[in-house]
Amino acid sequence: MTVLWLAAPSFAQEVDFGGKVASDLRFALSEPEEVDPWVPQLATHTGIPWNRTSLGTRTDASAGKWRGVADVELMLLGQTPTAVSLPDLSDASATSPVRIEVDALYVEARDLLWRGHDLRIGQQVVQFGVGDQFNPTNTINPNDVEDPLRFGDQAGNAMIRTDMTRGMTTFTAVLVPVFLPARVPASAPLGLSEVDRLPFNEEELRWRIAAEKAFAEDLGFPTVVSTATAEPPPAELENMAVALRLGTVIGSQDLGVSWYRGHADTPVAAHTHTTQLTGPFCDPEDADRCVDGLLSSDVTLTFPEITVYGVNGAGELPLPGKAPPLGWRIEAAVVVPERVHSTITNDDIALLGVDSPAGEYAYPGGDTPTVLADTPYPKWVVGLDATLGRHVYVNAQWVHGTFDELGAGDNLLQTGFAVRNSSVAKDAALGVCALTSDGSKCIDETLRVRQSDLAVVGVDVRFRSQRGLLRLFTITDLTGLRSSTVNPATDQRTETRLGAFSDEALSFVLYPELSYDLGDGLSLAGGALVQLGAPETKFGDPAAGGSFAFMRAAYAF
Amino acid sequence: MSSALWMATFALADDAPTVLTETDAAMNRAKDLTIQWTVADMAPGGKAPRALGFQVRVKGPKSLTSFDAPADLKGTRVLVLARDQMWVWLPSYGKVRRIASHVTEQGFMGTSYSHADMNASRFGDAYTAASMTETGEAWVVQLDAKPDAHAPYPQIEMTVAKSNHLPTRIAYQTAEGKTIKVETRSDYACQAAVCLPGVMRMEDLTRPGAWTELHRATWAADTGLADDVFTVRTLQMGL
Repeated sequence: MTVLWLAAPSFAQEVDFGGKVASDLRFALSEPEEVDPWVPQLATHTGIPWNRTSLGTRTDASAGKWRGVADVELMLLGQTPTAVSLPDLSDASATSPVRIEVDALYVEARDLLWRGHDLRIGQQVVQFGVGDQFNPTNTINPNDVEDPLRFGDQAGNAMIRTDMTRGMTTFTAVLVPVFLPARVPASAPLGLSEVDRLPFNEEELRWRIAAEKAFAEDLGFPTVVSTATAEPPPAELENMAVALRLGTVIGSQDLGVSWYRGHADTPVAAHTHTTQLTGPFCDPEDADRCVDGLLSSDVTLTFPEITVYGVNGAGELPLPGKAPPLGWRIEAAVVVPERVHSTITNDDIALLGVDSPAGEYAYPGGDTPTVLADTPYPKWVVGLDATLGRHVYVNAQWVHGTFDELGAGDNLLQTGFAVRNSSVAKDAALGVCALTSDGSKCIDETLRVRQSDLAVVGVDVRFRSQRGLLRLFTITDLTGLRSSTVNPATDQRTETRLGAFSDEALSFVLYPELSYDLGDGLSLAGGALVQLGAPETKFGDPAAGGSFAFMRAAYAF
Repeated sequence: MSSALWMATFALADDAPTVLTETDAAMNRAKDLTIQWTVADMAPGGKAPRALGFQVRVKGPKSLTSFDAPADLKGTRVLVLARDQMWVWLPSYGKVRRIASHVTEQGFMGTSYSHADMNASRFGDAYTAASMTETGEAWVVQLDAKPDAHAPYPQIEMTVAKSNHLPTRIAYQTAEGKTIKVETRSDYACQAAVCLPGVMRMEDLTRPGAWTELHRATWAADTGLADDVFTVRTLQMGL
């Protein structure tokens, strides 16, 4: 009897279960991007790009110091592939694809080795940042921007996390055994059709390759990107990511410092191999519109190693008089990337009787080009928020650098640009440029600093005892563009700054949403995400996904 | 003996400051409290009240509130250590977020209660008792906000039961004396010396038709809640 009593657990098991059924339907407001028929057809964000129904469940079981959590979502994608084979028509998995997402699936022990020591092992999300949606120190989990409406979300990953807490001070250590890349919007591959956006830092090489590509296109051989293969770092010990954080509360302010070493979840081009395909290739709808062949490129993408030093702070600023204090938050990071070289190879290519034998490209100076320099660069988010009366909440942020922007270069501290567009200069002697391997006198470029500056302003208006919410968020790109052009008469290049509010550089997002809580867990919402700007801008870029309207319903239980 | 005690009580409650002191003492006899509330909240012009449920743990000025209803709020927790030290755990975002005290302007989860109303346990900290009237069963004390005390209302008229020195009606007023919200507290139950209302009802007179009722489901006093219940760690992990 005594033995039985000793063996019996001294704690009861508690199980908590909840879930949500949700439907999300979207209608594209943008026109489809027109691409040449010989360019590989890529996903487009048109028509009804989103028609998802999901069941999300959360199970939380605990017994004594132990706890297990499962956060699983079953998602009906609601899209039939545009082309299916006849046998697929009898295969529901082909015509009605389903996906399962697991953001949390872990076990956790509280006060494991001593009071204040916690351990969590399994699929989880660990976030260090205090910013809203834009978090330069949240580098542990992969960003999940597949759904643009859930910007700032991160996907779960398997990891080991331990916390040691004393009072209001916590030290956190995280080990991530296997790297996961960011989830990108379905529209992201459209960026591959922008073959004029050469990723190399060395401008002489960039102009030269751009001139050669343009010349080849004039000869009837345009360049296309046929495949882009991302190669995540293999699951090996040296590729495990590690993160540390020390956080505390001092007075009415939260403060934290963090360190991360791992890989960026956004890739850069590490290798390009070009093959000449002999045609002709013609437009099926216009037999007179043909090219003689293609220079087909296969791009290999790599995820650079990065070290991130982070600082976080949040609190409130008193205001004079009886005005309530402002909330503030700062999240800043210095990112130290490894240098990423890119190699360029080709099979035998013959154009205009000139043969380029198979092998590696003859880089100027012999060095492989750089697509990511090892210069450390900062990112930050500074935010303020305030409540005006019972109904209105205002949030404003200055975002310097988003997660998908790699490399040094901004409008404040460092020089460094990414190409947003390149073209042949008016009256340029393109053949001469291509054959003399000097594109500086032929290529115009539109450039953008690598790290954006964004003004994010949001207003929430709540009504009917907070059951209704009218939300308007705007993101304005303050970065601007630069036009680098050549004057064929003088062969001189000039650089012109295009201000953020110029016709060429103006780019912004409008996000109006009206939602209503009908009570008992039922809610309805409708709105739009409107992204505007020229294709060279951050939000006008076709790869950003364009604009759409949405309507959602959810029932939580 | 009992006559002497009665005389002593009467003497202590003879003036407004004493009534206020006695009321604060009666409201704060517990070292800690754990209360499960069910809430009915009616919006202006609403057809049926919205249901909420939460458990609140209180120790001095500190509180940890855990919502269990409705389902879309389930798992949300709010930690308050002081007026300028508040955090919320949002399970759908999986993160702790510091909230500035300005959010208290929005009211407590959209109800007729404000955060300040929910956390008001010692009126003497922010108010002075200016005057008092008396009925057979109650004192009616007029409270004025102390300068620089950041009192949420300029004036309060509080009715205190003589039987237990606990408030039964609280009228929250503007500086001009206009009543903007009225709270009633009834069905007090006691565990040893600690008494708690069974029903609290707040009517927001600035929004005609808006009211919120809190019904006490279960409660326990002086269970020995540890200080580490009221930490960001517990907010994130739960109890």
